[in-house]
Amino acid sequence: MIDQTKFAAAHSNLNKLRDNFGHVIIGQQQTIDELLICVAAGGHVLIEGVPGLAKTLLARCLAYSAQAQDVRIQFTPDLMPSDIVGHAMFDHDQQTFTVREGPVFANVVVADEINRAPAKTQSALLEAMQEQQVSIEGETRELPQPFIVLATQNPIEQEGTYPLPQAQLDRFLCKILIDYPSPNDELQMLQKITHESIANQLDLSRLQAVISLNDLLDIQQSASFISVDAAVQQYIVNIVTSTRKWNGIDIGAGPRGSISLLRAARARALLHGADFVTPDDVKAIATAVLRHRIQLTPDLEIEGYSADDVIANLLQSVEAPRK
Amino acid sequence: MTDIKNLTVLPRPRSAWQAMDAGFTLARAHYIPMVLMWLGFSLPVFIVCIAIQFWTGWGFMLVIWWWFKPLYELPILFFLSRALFSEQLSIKQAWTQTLRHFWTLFKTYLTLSRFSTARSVTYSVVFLEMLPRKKRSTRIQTLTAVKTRHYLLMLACLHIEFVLAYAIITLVGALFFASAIADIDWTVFFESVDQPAVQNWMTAASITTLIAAALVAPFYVAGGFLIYINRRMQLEAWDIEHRFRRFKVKALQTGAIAGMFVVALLLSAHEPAIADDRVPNIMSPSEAYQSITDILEHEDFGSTKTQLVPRNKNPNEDDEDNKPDLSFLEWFADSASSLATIFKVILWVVVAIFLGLLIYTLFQFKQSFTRPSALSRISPEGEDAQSHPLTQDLPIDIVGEAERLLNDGQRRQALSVLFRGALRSVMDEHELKIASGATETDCQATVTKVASEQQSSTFTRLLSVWQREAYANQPQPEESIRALINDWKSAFAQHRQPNSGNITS
Repeated sequence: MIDQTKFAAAHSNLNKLRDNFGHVIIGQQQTIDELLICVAAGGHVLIEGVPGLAKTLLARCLAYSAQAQDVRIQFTPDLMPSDIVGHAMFDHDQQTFTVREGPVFANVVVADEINRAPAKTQSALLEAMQEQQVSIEGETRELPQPFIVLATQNPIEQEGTYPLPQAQLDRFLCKILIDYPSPNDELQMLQKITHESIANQLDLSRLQAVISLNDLLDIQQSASFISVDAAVQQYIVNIVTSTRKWNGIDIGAGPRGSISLLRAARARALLHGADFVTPDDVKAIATAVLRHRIQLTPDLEIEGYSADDVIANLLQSVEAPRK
Repeated sequence: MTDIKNLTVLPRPRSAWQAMDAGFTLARAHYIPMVLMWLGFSLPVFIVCIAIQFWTGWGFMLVIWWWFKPLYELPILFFLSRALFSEQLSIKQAWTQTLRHFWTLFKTYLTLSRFSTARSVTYSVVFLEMLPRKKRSTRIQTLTAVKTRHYLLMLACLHIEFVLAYAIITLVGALFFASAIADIDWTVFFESVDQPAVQNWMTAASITTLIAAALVAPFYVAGGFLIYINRRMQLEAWDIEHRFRRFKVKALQTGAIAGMFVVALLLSAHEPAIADDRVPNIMSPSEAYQSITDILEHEDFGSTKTQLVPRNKNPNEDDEDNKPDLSFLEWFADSASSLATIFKVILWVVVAIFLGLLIYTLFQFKQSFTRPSALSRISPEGEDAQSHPLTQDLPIDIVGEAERLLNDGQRRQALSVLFRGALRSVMDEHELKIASGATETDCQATVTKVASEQQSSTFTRLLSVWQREAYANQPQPEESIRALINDWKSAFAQHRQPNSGNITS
């Protein structure tokens, strides 16, 4: 049963985060909302967008606002798994092996251009994302909580990249697409960044921490208590199973898709101050949750349709609960 | 009357390619007036076609415009026929002549013969030689007995026309209307002809087609015309006649010098080198000149003469009187000819009916010629009140059923009936289609757009209560549900159509 006091605090803290983002990031409201939904649901995020659209800034904003420890890893073709999770090294003084923890031991890990590293390195991070722990030299170490990975990738430069396999993409709760800002937002951004400043991006020091790490954990906890009616659960399952038999989809979403959709719908309800999930919550977040879990048929791909088009199409067909 | 001495093209035997080339040179020499002549008829037809495209559609409009192309080309032919012999025909005169020949044009080129590939060559036979029908056919057969390559001329011009049209539209589009072109979804182009962006594109494409055709037409007509002239040169030996004429002129100039040279030779000789009786009868230049002039000026030169010569009858030939009477065969031939004419007319009627049916079928099944996009093939359509799954199994008496369920303590079911009943009422009243996947917010947005204020506010309250009861598992007070039922009655019950659809009692 949900504790209304905790719920109200969680909703308020989530909105504080949202407002704080607004101080640094101009526009991109849907992107911010989807990111907050992922954070509240305790999921990892794959952000896709062309360079210069504040992907990294978004991640750093989250860390600053929640007083979380953040780290940025630039994925390159020569990056090794031990560069991420850490390694054991021999200490001559002590004559023993000591473990040096890698950058993955942080609350918010920004994996920049994740598709530039080879599969072995990608899977090291993805294992940490799934298990919330890493093994170094046979020793298992828990990752700090909350542990959120924000991976970014560039959709236009595909040369020399290692696209994430379907099974690994499944680990991300949502895939968020960042588009160019509107002309008005861009003008505002221009004025804000260049005002008495020689920098080319907004000063993060202006940002204040608005919640603590514990508050962030409470948000995640509160989201998990939000009630979901059986009819809505059935609706979620219907949507996900439809992706497996839909005409335009070659490979549909797996059971992890259903689970992710329910978690994200709960977080969306919390963001909007509701202590229950409606079909609207499910439908609104379904595209972000499912777009990276499905593979389109070749004819749709050839005709230039995206996963978003097909999911929108599918959502119009799957019957919403009414009884 | 034309005279070959006035020819602007040197009469000499040419291949079909060389003849076309000569035609293009002629077209370049008189390009502007020829384009204007072509536009004189094509532009009015084009404007009429643009006006009627709202009824006929773009495809049919372009077919109509294309069908009348021979009409636009005829003034150019009249102009060329004079220009070839160094005469000038004004644009107005060319148009007047075209109108005078319109009926002939209609019979010959605006019916089934429109599909003839030899139009460029046969044009001249029909409109310049003005031969009767039978002689015309023979004449055309004679002219086209050798490879005239007229079909290649047509193919080349057609392709150049297309390339030019697309080049113009792409260039202008890319330079000035790039954003408008970006708005067009090319994958569903033929399904979205009603959209303004597509309409504008089609208008622009039609105009560029007109421009391209205007630019190419002079070359097409001139190419065909010179192929025709080339064949006549070959058949009527214009080149030989021309050489004779040139020789006559030359002889005049060189005759005096040659005469002096011969006299000088004779005077310088003390005795003849050859005996007089052995000297051949060599014609002097003046005699040669006189002889050629006589030949050229003789009435027989250039004319055809039929001479009947009596001959003795061969004794082996049958006597005329013994020949069988074949007059009935003549009667039969006449009857057969009449019958053939009737059949010909019937055949034309059948072809016309067939063409009409074909065009009608094309219009009827236009959709089947355009493949829908992959997404639209799998897209669900909105469903109306009768088939919508959300409104299935609804009782006739919504209010009564809601009250009964409420009395039984089934609040959720009662609200569900009210909610679906309201939705169905609005869908019936406004003939709305709502997708199966429409959630509460989607339904509310649709209903708010079309329903009355009372209906909208009742629907919004109903949604709020329904969501709390159904999804939040928060039991709503019975009084508020009863109040909703009353409001539902006044907002929706009077608009409801009790006999419609799959309603179960």
